[in-house]
Parts: sequence; C-alpha cells; structure tokens
Amino acid sequence: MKQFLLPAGMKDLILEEVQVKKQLQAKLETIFEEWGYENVITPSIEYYETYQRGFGQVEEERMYKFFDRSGKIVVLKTDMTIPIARLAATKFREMNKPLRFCYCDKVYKVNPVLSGMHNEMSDCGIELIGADAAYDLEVLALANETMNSLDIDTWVMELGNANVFNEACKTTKLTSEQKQTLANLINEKQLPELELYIASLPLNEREENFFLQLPWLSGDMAVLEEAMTYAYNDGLQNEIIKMQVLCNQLTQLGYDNFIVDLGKMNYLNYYTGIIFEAYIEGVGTRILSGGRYDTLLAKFGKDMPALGFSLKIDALLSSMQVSNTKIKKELCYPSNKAMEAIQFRKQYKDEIISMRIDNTLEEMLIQEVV
Amino acid sequence: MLSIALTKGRLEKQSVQLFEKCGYGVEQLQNKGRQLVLKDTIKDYEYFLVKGADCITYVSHGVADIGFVGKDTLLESKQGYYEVLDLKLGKCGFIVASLPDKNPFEKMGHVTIGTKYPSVAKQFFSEKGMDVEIIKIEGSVELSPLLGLCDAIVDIMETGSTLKENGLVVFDRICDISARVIVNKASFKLKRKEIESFLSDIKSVLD
Repeated sequence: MKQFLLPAGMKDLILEEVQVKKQLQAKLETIFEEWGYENVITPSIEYYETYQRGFGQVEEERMYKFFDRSGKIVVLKTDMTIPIARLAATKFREMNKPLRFCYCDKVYKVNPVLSGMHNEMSDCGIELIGADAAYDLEVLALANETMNSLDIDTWVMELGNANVFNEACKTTKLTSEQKQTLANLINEKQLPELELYIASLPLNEREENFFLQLPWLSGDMAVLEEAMTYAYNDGLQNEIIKMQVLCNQLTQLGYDNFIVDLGKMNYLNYYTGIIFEAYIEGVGTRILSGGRYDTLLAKFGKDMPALGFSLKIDALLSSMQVSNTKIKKELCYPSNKAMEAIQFRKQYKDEIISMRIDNTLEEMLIQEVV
Repeated sequence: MLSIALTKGRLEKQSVQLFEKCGYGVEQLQNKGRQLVLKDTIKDYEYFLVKGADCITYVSHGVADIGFVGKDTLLESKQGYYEVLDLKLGKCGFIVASLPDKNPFEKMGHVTIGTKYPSVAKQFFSEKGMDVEIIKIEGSVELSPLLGLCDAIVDIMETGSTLKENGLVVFDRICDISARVIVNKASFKLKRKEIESFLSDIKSVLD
C-alpha cells in the first residue's frame, strides 16, 4: 500500500505534546498581555520583496517561495519582525506613542535535509515600536520575566551591543565588506581564521588587539572593565559605559542571570543597539533572541526606533510537562440508548467526557479513563 | 560534565595523546573494546568516537559540548558551532589538480570539477569568478580526470605522492587544513569555566 509521508523537515504533534505546547503558548501570551502588548495575527505569506527590503540581503535558499496569480514571488514568512514592521508602518501610520505587539505564530525556514532540524517553527514574542534606547531596560526585564516563567533552573541571558563593534570600526579605515567579514568571524568565533584575517587588514596595534580579544570578551560584568582597557576611542568607551549602567540596573532589579558577550555581532546588519539571547542547558541552540533594530521601520516608510524579542518554543517542549491535567471520563452506552446518553452528556460543561458505543451494556455508565 | 566528540581514526589517536599529556584519565580511550561512550577516569569528561561529519552534527545539536574535527569536514558544513582552536594536527591542504596539459584555469568553455568536497570547490571557483560544474565523487577522485569524467579535481593533498603516481599536477592551492576544536554555542555560554579550562589544558600541550 502507498504510504503518505511528511515533507522533509516537518513534524506532527500529538496528544500530550499538543497540550504542553498550548499551555506554554498561553503562558507566554498572558505575560506579554500583562505587560501591555496586544496580539496581532499576520498572514502566513508575504511578498519576497518585503523580506528583501527588510533584511537587505536575504538567505534566499532558506525560504519557501512560490508565485501568486500575478507572477510575483511570495514566501512563507521566516520571522515575525518583518511582517510586524510592515504592519506598523502601513496600518498605524498616524500613531505617535509606542506600539506594543505580541504574537505566537508559525514561521518557516528551509534547513539542510537530513540535518535533524525542523523547517516549521513556532515563534512567540513581542515588538515594541517607536521606543528608543531608554526602553531597553523595560524590554530586557520582560525577557527575564519570560525566561523565569518557564520554571527551568539553568538558563542564562547573554547581552551584547552592536554599537561596540560599529564604534570600534569608525576610527579605522575598513571597508564595509571587510567589516562584514570581520563581524562574521567574531560572531561565529572562528578564531584561527580570525587571526589570519586580522593580520591582513590595515589596522594599528591597538585596533588589532581589540578585535582579537573581542570573541573572548564574554563572561560576567568584569568583562566590561577588561574591555575598557582595550577601548581606543571615545565612542567605544561610551558604549561600554552604557552597557555597565544597564547591567547594574538589571542586577539591582534582581535579573542577575546574565553574562556579557561583546563579541556578539550584528546578524545581516539588522541590529543597531542591544542584542540579547537566552540559552538553557540541554538545548544546543538559543531559546530566546532579540535586540534593537532602529533602521528597519524606515525601510517601510516610517522612521521609528524599535526593539523586540522572540522565543523559538519548539525546542522547549521536550523539557516541559503538562500541568494540572483534568480527569478524563468516558460515557459508555448501548446504541439503543443514544438519545438518553446524549441528553445526559449535554448537562456537563468543563469536564472531559468522551462517548463510546458499547452494545454489551444494558444501561449507560460513566467511568474514569486511565 | 563535558562531553567530547572525537573523530575516529588518525585524529583520534593524536587527540588521545594530547589528553594524556594533559594528565587526563584516558585508560578507557586506550583500551576501548566495544564501548561507545568512554569516561575519563580523572576528569568529569566523557568521550565518544564518531565520523568527522557526525562530529559536527553532534556538536551543532548540543549533544556533544566539544568536537575534534578536521577543517576539511568543517568547510563542507559551516553552520552552528564556534571554532576556537587550531590543533595544527594532520596538516594538509586543498588543491586543484589535473593532467599536465589540462589546466582548468586556461580552458575555454564549460569546465567540470570532480570532488568529494562540493562546497569547497564551488566557493573557490566562484571567488575566482569561474562558473564551473561540480560532480560529486565519493572516493579515488584522482581517477576521474584520467578517465575523462571531468577536467580537474579538488581534493586533499598531504604528500602529493598519490597525485604523482597518477600523473596529475597541482594547478592551485586552495587553503591549508588541519584539525580544529569546535564548541557548541549554548555550551560555550553555560559551561564557560569548564570549557575554558579544557581549552587552556590543550593549548598548554600543543607545541
């Protein structure tokens, strides 16, 4: 017989898995709503053009693409930030106070085949649009609250700032292509290659030392003091001082579960300020990621600073359990008692009672399902 | 606890020698029998032996915190790990080779390249501004230009003797390769101290 199988990178969720996921989504949405964010739902498909505009350079081969009726290329959305930026810029043109949006939705990315990675992911997060750096602390607080709500002991939030690298580059003679290569090598901590590459660049000794150290400038707050000793221009020093202030504020608020990583770089030139990611033990990739993207909205015609974060919740599911499961009951009845049985079932609300025909019975009976 | 994935074969032996120099408890690694997961008898480490490409998969998924693997394998699968140390073991290089009268850089028209390393070959030629066709070959790559399947090959060269025996010459050297230490990104944040102390042990015994 012909078997009907799933396309590559797809996954079914059944029974308890579904409950775990729904409960987690509900929990996250509740927190976001409590902090004043409003849910938005955007379509699953967007124009390819929209992503190209948003990201500048897109990872074309990692998108599901097809054509609409007019022959324009459409894609399954690969993230929620671009659709929300488009939405904010087109549907809220006249709004002047910060816009708070939250979402839980599926996003799609084509991963290499047979890599064990899934192409459909649930993404839950927030975007705060029209909010400058003064809002960084608030969003970081919410990210911390969100991680705390997961009831997982071992997590860590990593903090970086795209401006550290940008300021460091300002006084150098690097071309934008060189900056991008340098940023990638530092971000991916490709240390042997980084050393070779730095040697080939027109940098003075202090600059060379700084970029060589950057991938290692990660750890607790002491790293910022260490970074200060390598900082060779005012802009760089200012950014480090701002990081120190932010870290102190977080510590005072009790959000001390963070490490600093100044080697955290700008993915696709997207982030323009703070960048943060959270990791948990047992999951090899980041669970939460976010940052500031002040130049994105302008690309869609409304020049506003913004920041946000999202959680890829699928990776969390295996480490979570269903909380307070309801008792499941079964109502069994012979088929000639169907009317009575359904009359009986109608009286019950808020209880899980499934129905089953059993013709060996004389009368209907209700029992717990184990 | 750190779990360390080692690439089987020659690199495995060299890695075990490094661990021994570091003073780690490598008895199980030296007499491994049929065990797949081997515990360090001194440190809180466990080792397992896998093929190079699998080493990257285990590290990318975070099942292994650290991997020892050749740069040739890393170049074929670039994402999802930090590459933190060059062990300078198993040094060799990627080269472009063919028959003496078949220089692929001088050929007009369509050029085909046979290789076990399609990503490396593709990237190299595209950086040269050449649009070549790549044919994936799983083994004895030297054979393919001899039999006329392709114009040239991209392969690993250690001493060059295999090439010479088959009458092939090197037209370009793509890059040097050697064994590297890779680290899972999440482990790097969560087990920072353990990983740093492991790396500094290894660094201290490299010549």
